[in-house]
Amino acid sequence: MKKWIFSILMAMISSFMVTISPEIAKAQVEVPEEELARESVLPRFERGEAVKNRAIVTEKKVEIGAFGGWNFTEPIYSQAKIGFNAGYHFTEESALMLNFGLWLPGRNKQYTDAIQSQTKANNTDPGLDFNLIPDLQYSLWANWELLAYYGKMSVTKQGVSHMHLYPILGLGMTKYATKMYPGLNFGLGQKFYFSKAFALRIDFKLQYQQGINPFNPGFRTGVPDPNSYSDRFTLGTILELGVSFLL
Amino acid sequence: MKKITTVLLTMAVSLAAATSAAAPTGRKSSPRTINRSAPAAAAATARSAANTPANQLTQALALVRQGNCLQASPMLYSLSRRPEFATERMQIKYILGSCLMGLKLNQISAFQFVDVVRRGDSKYVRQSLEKLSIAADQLGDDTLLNYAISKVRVDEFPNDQKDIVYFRLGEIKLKNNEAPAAAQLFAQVPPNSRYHAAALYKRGLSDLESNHVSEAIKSFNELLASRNGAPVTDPTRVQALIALARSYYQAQDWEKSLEYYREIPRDSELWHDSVFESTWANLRAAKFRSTLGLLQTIHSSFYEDYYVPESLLVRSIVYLYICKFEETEKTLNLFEKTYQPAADSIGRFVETIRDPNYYFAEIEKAYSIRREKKPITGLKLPYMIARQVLEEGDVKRAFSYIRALNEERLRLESYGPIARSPLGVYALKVLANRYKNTKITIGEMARAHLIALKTDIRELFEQASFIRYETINGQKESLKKKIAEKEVETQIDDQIDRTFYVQNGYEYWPFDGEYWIDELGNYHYLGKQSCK
Repeated sequence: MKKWIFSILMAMISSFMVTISPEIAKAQVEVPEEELARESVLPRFERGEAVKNRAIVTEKKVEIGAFGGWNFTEPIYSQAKIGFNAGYHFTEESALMLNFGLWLPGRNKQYTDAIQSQTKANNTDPGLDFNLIPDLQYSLWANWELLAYYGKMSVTKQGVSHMHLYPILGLGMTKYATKMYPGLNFGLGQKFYFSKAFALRIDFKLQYQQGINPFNPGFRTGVPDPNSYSDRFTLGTILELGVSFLL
Repeated sequence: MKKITTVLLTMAVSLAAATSAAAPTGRKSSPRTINRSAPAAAAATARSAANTPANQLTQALALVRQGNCLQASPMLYSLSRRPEFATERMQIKYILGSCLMGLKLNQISAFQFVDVVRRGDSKYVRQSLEKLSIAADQLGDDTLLNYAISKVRVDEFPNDQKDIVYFRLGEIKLKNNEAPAAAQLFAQVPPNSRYHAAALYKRGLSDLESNHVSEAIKSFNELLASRNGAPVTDPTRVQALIALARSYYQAQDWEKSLEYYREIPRDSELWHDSVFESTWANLRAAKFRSTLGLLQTIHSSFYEDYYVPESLLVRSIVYLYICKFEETEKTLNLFEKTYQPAADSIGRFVETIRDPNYYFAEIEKAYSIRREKKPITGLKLPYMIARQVLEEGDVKRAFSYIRALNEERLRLESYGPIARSPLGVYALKVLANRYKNTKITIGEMARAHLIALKTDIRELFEQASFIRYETINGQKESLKKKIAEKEVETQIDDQIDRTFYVQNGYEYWPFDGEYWIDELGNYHYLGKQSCK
């Protein structure tokens, strides 16, 4: 799975870099071998900064973006969502981002159909119908992002992509048709910049939150009261893939 | 320690005589004055006898023998001032100095040794000089030592201890621009001396001053060989390498010079200097591309607080050589934009302020900005200039001396028995006085350096105007050639956008204005010359 995502990512980055990096070297000049780098140690400075005159400046900038996402461990509701991010970078290292995700309607057929047919066949729970449970609608999170690592990488030796790696920590609410539930999430994000303002953004988060228990025993006896569902805590595994712009 | 024990034994013998001379008086009077009905009087008499100066000295020496210098020092100090011990004063001072040195009160101990040396008629002069040398090394202040050394005669010293005298006299000669005499003195420091490495280095420097390059190279090579097996960043090894690079540069052997410059490790303090100096060697070797690559490092944002005006002129000269007139102009403009305000600021400062304390305060601000990594604010001078003054050897040494004085004051205050005694009062007064005088000295040094920097910048501006003149000349010649060819080709110089040059000149990891610490020293200029 990871390999697959990585391959797509690299392909995307490569294609982007080729299109947006028109400046490919014009002159081929041999550099004397004795002048090539031989040491991996760093020069010493009074102020130990790794980079000066950053190409990607985030401090005091607004960031907006859009994404598509999945909750890979959601068995009943649709796993997919779309949404947008908007936030403010207080410093080069610290940002507060709002993350709004609209969960796509429907159910996770991969599991719900199987569960329903199995319970019907076994006659253990003939009335089980996941279509009757209250819909999962949207989530809103306030995340603090620590831009812990800023770096750059060469892409196919023809261009350079800058990147940010950042831990995410936040609180949020998830709205079901009947009720709103709190939760917390944490994870790791990575941005690959294709220009000084435009980046591909990938966030991976674990989301621990309260929600509806879809296996409510009450609805075996006909159409259930939407408010009769009990609550439960779940741990979701969220992956979001999107783009972001610094304004 | 062995020497102190010998001194103590000598003193003990001489004191025995003094004590026995005082004893009969006591014996005579005691049978008559002490009786059974007056035990308090007897005790008082006994106490009084115990408190005789001779006894106090015996006690003090016993404490020194026990290693209890904390208790012994105040006693020795008081005794050294008593008229009864006029003849033993120098011995007492030497022992007191040694004791204080053991307590790491180097400045106070140095004063005791200087007294011994200044008096000059004691057999403790040589030993005091040796101790003084160690204390001066610890303090980073050679003023006292050089003063003391100038007072002694080399032939008075035993052969195995002449090294320090030769070394220090060599330093004095070198400072007084007597390089050949200095080289001779340094050459006499034997290989087993703790001063040998420093003497080799300074001998090389003296030879370079006298333009005896091959002798200098020999000294530096010997110094380098002596550090075989030392870590690559070993300061002596690196000093030897850069000295060799400079020597070969002086000998106009550019390739050899560059070879040594490249050997300087990046994580050594001298790497920055070596990069700049090697740009000159590259320029003289007509390696323009290499020069520009190194200058890209020097002109990175990492060096925005460094005073390197000459590097901009070197860059403009290279651009002039390769007919990049547009770049030459931009570099000269940058030079003027950066250093004209700096020169104006220095001018205003030195013309309006005379008080050395004010100079010290300004430089001290820069010192704490650098040391404590504070934001660069509150300075009247540009930080780059104040920082450059701080980098000057004499100012650097004086600041480390001030630091040593502060540490010594704190240490002294933590030694209760000394701090509360007359010795403590005296010591604090000495330290406060030294601190005050050093502040004034630093202020005077700073003013002198600022005046020198102002002159330096003015001279560089004159050079810049020559380069500008040559640029206009070059442009004119280039235009003439174009007209003669009767066709105007699209030249690389027709593009006046700087980013064009930048992107055209660098490939693989195109430089986009961002500087990474791990890329410093690895820039390679790949542009081509535009001369027709």
